Amino acid sequence: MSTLVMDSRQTELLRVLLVEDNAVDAKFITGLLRLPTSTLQCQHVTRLFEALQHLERNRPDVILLDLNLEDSAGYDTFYRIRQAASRAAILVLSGSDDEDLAIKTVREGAQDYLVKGTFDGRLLLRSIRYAIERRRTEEALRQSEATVRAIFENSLDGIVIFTGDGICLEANAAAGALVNLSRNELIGSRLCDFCEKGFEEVWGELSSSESGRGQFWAHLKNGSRRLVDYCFTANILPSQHLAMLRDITEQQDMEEQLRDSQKMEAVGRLAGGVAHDFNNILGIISGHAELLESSAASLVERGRAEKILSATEKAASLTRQLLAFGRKQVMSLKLLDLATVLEGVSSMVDCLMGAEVQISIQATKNAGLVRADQSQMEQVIMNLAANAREAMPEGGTLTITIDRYASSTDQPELPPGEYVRLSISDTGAGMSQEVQSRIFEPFFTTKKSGSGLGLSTVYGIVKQSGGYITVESEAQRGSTFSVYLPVISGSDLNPTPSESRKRLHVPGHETILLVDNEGDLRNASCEYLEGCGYRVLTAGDGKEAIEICDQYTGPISLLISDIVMPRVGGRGLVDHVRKTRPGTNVLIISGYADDAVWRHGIALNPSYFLQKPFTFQALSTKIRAILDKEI
Amino acid sequence: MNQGSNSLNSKDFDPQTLLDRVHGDLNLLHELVDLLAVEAPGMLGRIEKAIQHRSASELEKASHTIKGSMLQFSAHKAADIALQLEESAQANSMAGSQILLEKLRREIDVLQQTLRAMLQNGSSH
Repeated sequence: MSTLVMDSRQTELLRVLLVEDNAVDAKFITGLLRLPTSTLQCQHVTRLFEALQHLERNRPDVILLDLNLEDSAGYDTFYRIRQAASRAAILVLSGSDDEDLAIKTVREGAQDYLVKGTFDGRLLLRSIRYAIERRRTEEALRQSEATVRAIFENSLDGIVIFTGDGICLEANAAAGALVNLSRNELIGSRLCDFCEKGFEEVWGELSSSESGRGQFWAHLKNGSRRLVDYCFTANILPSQHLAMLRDITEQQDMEEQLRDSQKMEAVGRLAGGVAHDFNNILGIISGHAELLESSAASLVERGRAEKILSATEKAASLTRQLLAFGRKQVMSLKLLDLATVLEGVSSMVDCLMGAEVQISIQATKNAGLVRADQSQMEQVIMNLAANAREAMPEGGTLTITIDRYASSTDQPELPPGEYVRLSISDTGAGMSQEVQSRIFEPFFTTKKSGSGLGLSTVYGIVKQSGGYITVESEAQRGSTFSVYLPVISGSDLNPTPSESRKRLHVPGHETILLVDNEGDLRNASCEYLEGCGYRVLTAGDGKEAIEICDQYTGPISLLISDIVMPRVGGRGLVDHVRKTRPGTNVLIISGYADDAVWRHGIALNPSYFLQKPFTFQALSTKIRAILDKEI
Repeated sequence: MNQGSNSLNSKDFDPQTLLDRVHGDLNLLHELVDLLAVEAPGMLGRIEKAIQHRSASELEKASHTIKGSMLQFSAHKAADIALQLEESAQANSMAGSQILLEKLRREIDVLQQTLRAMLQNGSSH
């Protein structure tokens, strides 16, 4: 303790309790404490029980204690007082110079042991002050230790103290939990016994350095492993080192998932861009195929043109599905026919399976309508199909069935009722009971790659939709996932009649301004429309179109424009035309999905949009409907 | 020790040490001497009673108490006699206790006289 602190405390009023039954000794002590420099307030009692009563109501700074009283003797006197006044400094005053007793009392908390007749007032006063200071320091240390201990015990990170040989001297519960042991089981063990091979060398290097940071894989007794981030400090005490440990297994999984998700997002954006360009190309192919078809000299040529058109329609359907699947949508519950939803993604399922997997689809029409989000149901089908594909690396058969299912009362996992059942089966290796029991857990995977979230996502969607999902599997016979969605009663399915493709030539005579930076598509469209009787003005971008608009003196009945063009885009062109030719109708064409219109800031009735690739028939039908004010 | 002596030599009683311990406070010393005169008969009486009742525990306690007081006065010889009584009692032996008690009584008498003389002189012995 510094002198300055001692000086500042010398003026502090100290409360003393003197426990002494000998009147002469008591007089001596109190007389000695009557020094001019003394700032003591002394209370005297002669019996232990009086002292204990006093301590119930008071908190003296120091107790001067004779051990041999009328109602108590020896160490027991000290023990009782210690229990009653744990915060006070105790000085034992004894007539015996008993070293053993002195050591015992000091060890148990007495600040000093003074033999009567060996001290004067100054020594007594100094002893009192020193005793109080030591007691306060001990108390502060005790509180500090208690705080550190609380932090140590309750830390969510593992904290371990090692010897230089890597033997664990002290550990908290979190450290034990990292390796699936209690802290007592961990103490005395070698941490390297739980680490991956080769960590011994790392440990050796760490022990001879001041500090270090890194990661290691901890191998648990149950066969699993955890990724641990550690921070090491050498020699916090001589030959004792400190390690802070944090289980970052889940964090790493989430980071991987985030990377995968970001990758998927990037792929989605890329796919969107590719799909747009692909749609433009398909538009050129289908446009010229239509022209070929209309000018075919023979049935053979017409047949070939039709085959080209059919192929471009399939290609267009695939890109539409790709764009729709990757699009983020808020959950929008609708009455759905799962067979129709399945049909909508069948092309993608085909792509996913590849040539090695045979696909069998048995979808009952009119199985009933369910209330669900279409894009989520598509995701369920795709995730289950992807899972099935993973189970058949060498190929096999994927079977998708949709039927009506009635659950009876003796099926605990499925409440009684009417359901539409979607089942997806594979002929893969099958799953053990243990794997089946965990298959829907987030991050659980039996594959080397993958996030382990596909099936847990399916599970979440099915539950969110009020449905149920089961899995049946047999080793070497494959697995079947069945999704049960409650039928919405009163919903009879009326199949939507499919639109037949008619080759109708829809004539017109108006003036159309056609703007598209894709030259081949523009020329083919122009040729077709002129063939229909329209007068067609063409431009390669918005700026050229504006010049034509301003210079052309006659009426322009319809503006057909792409959105994304160089120099001036669709929005700028539409704004100009609406200002200068308010009577001109607008039809927007684009390789992007219909939300591209509002995303580019064009206020337009969705009916005035045509997504590429479109057939010329669809174009002419749309044009006629707009000009005849039918929409 | 000289049984008939009315004075104590420095080995028996150290007046300077006593004065130093009370920081020369003669008023305090006066109070202590007066208190000793009041308390000493009682303390000696408890020893006598213990011997009569052949109670080793009471003898140990009483002799320990008076020993402490003698140490306070730096009366080493008296303290030593009290210690002998205490140790006999701890050994559960009463042999010679009465003789030791008489010796102690005489020592305390001489001590008191010496202390009174000190106070009258107002300085050391």
